[in-house]
Amino acid sequence: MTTNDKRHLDRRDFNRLSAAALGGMLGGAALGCGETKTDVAASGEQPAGEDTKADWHLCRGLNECKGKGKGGDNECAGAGACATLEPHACGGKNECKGQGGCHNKVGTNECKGEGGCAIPLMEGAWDGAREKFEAHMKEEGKEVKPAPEPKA
Amino acid sequence: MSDPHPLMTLQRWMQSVITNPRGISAGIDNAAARQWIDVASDDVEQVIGRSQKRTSIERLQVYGNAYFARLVECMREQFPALCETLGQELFDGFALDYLDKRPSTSYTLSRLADRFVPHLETTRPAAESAAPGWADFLIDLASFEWSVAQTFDAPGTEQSGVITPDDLAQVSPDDWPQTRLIAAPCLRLHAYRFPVNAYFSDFRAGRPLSIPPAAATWLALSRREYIVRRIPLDESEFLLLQSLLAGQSVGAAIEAAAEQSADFDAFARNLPHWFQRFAGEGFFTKLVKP
Repeated sequence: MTTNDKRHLDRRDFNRLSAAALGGMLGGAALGCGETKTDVAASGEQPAGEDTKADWHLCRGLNECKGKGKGGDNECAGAGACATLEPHACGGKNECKGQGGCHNKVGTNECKGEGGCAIPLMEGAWDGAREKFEAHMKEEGKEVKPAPEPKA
Repeated sequence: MSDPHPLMTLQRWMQSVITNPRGISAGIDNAAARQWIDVASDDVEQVIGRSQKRTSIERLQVYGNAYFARLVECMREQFPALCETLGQELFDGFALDYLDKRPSTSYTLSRLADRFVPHLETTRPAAESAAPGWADFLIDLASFEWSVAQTFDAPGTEQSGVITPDDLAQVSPDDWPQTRLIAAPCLRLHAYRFPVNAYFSDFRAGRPLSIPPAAATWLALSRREYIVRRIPLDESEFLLLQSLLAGQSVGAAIEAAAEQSADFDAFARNLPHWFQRFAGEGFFTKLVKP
C-alpha cells in the first residue's frame, strides 16, 4: 500500500472504508446529540447555546434569545418569525424615545427642531472600511498597498 | 386640508413616503407616492396637518427615520460580528446603502438581509491581488453570519428526528455502500476564504478581534434542538459530505472523496470519526436502501 498520495481505490480498500463508515455511523447514532460537541470542542469553547454575552432583540442565530422570544420561549426556531422588537408607533406615545435617527446618530432622537434630519446615506462605506483596514494594518506594523480603482 | 383620502390610499401613500431612502420630501415628490396622492412636498399640509410644534414634513420624518433606524438595528443584530468589526457607524453606512439600493420587499424581517451579501459582492472594490484580501474577509464574514441566521430559521429535525441505531441495524453491510443518506433540511456546507468561524468564536467569547490571514475553511452549519451548530470540517470531509448531499450513495461518495484526498492513510483513519460525527450531529434523517 502506498502512503501519502492520491490513488484509485481497489476492492479491498473500498470494503474496508465502507465498513469503517458504517461502524462510525453506528457509534455516532448511539451517542446521539450532545456527546459530540464539535461546534466548539476544537477550541474548548463554551457551547454556542450557552453563551450569554449577546442579548439580541431578534431571536436569531445562536439561541441567545432563549426565553426572550414572543411568548417567552424559543419555539420560533425554524419559523422565521420571532422578532421581539416593540411594534413601532410613535404617535402620541413615548416608546420611540431614542429610536429616531439624526445625521450620523442613528438611534438617537436629537433631531427635534432641526428639520430635514434623516437617516444618513453613506455612499462611501467601502472607502471607510478600507481606511479602517489600513489603520488596523498600521497598528500591526504591516504595509498596505494603494487602493485599486473601484470595480466598473 | 382637502377632503380626507380613503384609508387604504393614505396608507399606501404614507408607506411610499416614509420608506423612501432619500427622505420625506423626496418621497412625497416621488412618482411612487404621487400615484396614490398627487401632492407636492410643498403642499403636503393638505394631506398631513402640522402640529403645534412640528411641520407636516417633520411629523412624517419621525416615521421615516424610525423605519430606517429599525431596519438598520435589525441588520446590526443579524450581523453582530461584522458590525463589531466595522464599527457601528460604518456598518450602518453599509446597511443604509443596501437598503437604499435594494429596498426591503418582504413582510418579514427574517428576509431583510436576503440580498446583503450579493450587494456587498457587487459594490466591493476591485481585488488588490490574486490572494483574498480584506474586502473578501468582510464578505465572508457577512456570508457566514447570514448563513447562521438562515440555519436558525430553516426547517429542522426537531420534529422529524434523525437516523437512529435501529435504522442502521436494518441495513446489511452488503447494502450499505449503495445506500443513500437523506440530509437534514437545516444542514448546509460552506467554504470560506478566511477562518470566519474561528473569528466569530473569538467575537462571541469577547476575545480581542484581529482580521486573520486568509486560510481556506470548510464548515457545516446545522441545528439540533433549536441550537445552531457550527462544525469545522476537513477538506476531504467537506467533499465527502458534498457528495452525500448531492445524492450519491455512501460508497460512491467515499470513493470520490478518497480519490481526491492528498493523504489516503489519513483519509482512511479519519473516515469512521467523520461518519460518527455525521450521525452524532444528526446530519441525516433517513436511509434509502438500494
